[in-house]
Amino acid sequence: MTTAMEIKQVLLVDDDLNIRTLAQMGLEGLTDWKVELASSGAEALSKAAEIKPDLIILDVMMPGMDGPTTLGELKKVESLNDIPVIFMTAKAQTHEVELYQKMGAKGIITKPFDPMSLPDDIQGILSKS
Amino acid sequence: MMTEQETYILVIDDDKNFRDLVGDLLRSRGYEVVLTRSAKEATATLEAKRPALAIVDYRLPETDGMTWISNVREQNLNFPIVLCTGNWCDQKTFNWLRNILRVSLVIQKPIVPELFVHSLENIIPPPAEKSPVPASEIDEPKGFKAQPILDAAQVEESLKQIERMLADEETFPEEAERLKKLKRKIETQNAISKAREAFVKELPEAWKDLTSAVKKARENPKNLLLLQDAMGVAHKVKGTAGSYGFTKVGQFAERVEDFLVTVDPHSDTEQEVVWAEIIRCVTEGNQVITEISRSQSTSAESQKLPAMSCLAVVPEGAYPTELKGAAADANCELDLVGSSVGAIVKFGKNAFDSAIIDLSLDMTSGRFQLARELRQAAKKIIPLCFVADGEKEFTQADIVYGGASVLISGDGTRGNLSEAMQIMTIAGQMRKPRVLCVDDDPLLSSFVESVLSPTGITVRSLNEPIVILDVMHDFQPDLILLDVIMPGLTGYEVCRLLKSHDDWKHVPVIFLTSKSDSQGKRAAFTAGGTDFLSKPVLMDELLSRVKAHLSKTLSEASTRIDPQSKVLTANALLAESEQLINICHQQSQNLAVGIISIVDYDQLDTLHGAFSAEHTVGKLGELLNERLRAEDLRGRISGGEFMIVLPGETTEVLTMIFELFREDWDKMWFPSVRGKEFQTNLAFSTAEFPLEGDNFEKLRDYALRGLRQRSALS
Repeated sequence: MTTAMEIKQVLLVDDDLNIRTLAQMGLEGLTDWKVELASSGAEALSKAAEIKPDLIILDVMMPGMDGPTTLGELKKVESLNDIPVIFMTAKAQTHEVELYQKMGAKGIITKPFDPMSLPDDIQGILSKS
Repeated sequence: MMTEQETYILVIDDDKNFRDLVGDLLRSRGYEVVLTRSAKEATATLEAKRPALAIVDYRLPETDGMTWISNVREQNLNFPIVLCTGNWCDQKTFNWLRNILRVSLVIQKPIVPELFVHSLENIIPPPAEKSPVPASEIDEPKGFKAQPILDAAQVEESLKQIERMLADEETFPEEAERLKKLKRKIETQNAISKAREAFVKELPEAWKDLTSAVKKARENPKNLLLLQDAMGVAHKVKGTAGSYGFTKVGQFAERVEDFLVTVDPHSDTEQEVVWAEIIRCVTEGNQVITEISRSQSTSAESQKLPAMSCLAVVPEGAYPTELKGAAADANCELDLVGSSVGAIVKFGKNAFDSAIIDLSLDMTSGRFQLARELRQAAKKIIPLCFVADGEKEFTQADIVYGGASVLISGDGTRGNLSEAMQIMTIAGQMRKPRVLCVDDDPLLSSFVESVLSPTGITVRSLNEPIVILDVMHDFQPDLILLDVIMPGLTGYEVCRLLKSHDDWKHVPVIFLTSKSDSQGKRAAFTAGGTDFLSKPVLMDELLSRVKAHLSKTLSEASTRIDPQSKVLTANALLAESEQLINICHQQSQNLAVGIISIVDYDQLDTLHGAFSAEHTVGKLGELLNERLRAEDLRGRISGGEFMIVLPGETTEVLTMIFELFREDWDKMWFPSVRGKEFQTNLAFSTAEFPLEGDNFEKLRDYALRGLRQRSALS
């Protein structure tokens, strides 16, 4: 409950510009959240340390440092390991979902996603966990 | 202290049952209620404590309701007042109630409890801590839906509507909250829609990347890196295209990815089948993208809907350029066919709005049989244009009877063909379905008109609902769009009035409501509404709902079409004739009225067995619909008596038309119980505007007198 209501800033990480644009439109258009963008795992780590977002949405498949690796790095940093992380992936098989959750992810948003219902989907995941 | 004063509802009615009913209803909704029996009692209560609202009966002992309200207003007391009355009031009384007495709402007795409460809640919200509409009821069902590319005009209009509703002080806070949310939603969707339009341009490039990645992997089957590269590209397209709402493209990319996963770079067996599947998916995906790109570029250009569709039945190769040019000029969707048989087949498959017939293809030498058959196939009275080579001379009566609104002599030129198409469009519109839009907001009415008119629907707006019955009579609508909240009168009351009226109770009513919660919906149906549309009204939704209900009404042909003869009923004929007479009057044109009567109609059943009369009536109606022009009226005025109304024509032409009519009718034989087939005679008489009368009734009576005199003579 508490975490779900307190979001002010979101960090959105995806290597695909089109996906970043679309998700940002949906989130900023329908909620009062401020959305910061990162296009790689490395950028995500430095941006997260800088802005301390209330939520990170992380693409799984990215060139270089992929989503799970980025999450692992985040968990190592004490000031960042509390930030809830939601994965975004086009491949969501049950065993993968379980794996991601074990790693500390709050949940998964599957691609393709509907930008118009993205905020509700995120709220749903956060209120469940 | 002030707040404490204004919490109760004052009810004044001398009928105990009514008082108790209203009292219980309002208390159940959390209002505080004080019930009084007379104006005197009410005034005493009022002096002790001011009410938040008063519900006043029109008829009260001693001082009546109106006088009481006058006294209240004279004392400068401005609380809202609802007046209950047993009768529908006239416009003058209503305006006086609204403007002088400042009555918020007039409600008709007997009240419908649910509607009563709902209407009151629009004036003062219930005090009980009723939660606003839960979010789940407002939001559309979840789940992935392709975002349509929104029409800019539509978005703008919706946002304007919302702004107006927000500016309206009668809008409740929770309603305003919902509207703001909706506004945000529309704006976001609009932004996404624009991004989607931009993304379409990238799609072919992205698919090309996928195609080449797949090709490389295919050519180097042992190269694991290339295979993974192709998978990555497919994966990306799947997520991106899908999220932008191009579900099909996303699905093809997904299949490509899934198949690529099954490719085993170390094996040599059965790889061909997999690769064939992959290539097929890539090719099909490419086709889908080409399709999308094409529709995208054309949709931007050709927003304009064609005014009508037309089938040109002309010899092959005859003036095709002229026809196509004319169609472009007249904004007409054109199809060509080179033979009469082909034309009938085409008409059976496709509903064209009109036809051009080159008479050289009609082999019935001036009998215009093809025109008749096309109308049979179309199952409606389509406007026609004849093209004649000039060798054979036709009289005006021939042309009118044959059904042509226009005759072109000699070859068609672009100019006269396009003029003919325009005339046919107008002629066809005379039979357009009619929608009455009752709303106090002229901007909404004009929006409705701008959406419905281009699709061939005639729209009339009514901003003063109190005069609804007059307008119903004049306009004879097939469907009514009715706003729920209007000054002084709710749409519920208007709908109840219509539903209590024999002539209008079949006309479907669609409520326009800003309250799309379940209670609002229920109220709409309780009042007798057929359907409802939420405000802001969206273009697509408006169009599809109106069309759905219209097609139902028109096919049921509830009030306007006589079920036996399939021509207009007496009432509908009256209304349409009046309009036509008006038009002819304005254009200083003649108009001919003819009565066609089946001789001895009343004795047919006795002579030839049950349903014989009905059978002849059916056939006569059919003939009337297959012959004459689209702009002419045909109606059944009683039993075996029919009437036709021909704008622009004279008694002289009509008399010749009767001769042609008789020729057709003499070919009709009807089965008789006596074993032999029988025939009937027709009697005719005419009247002409303006010579023999300046309105429908005078013309009809003149023609009827003629008919009676003639039958008395014979």
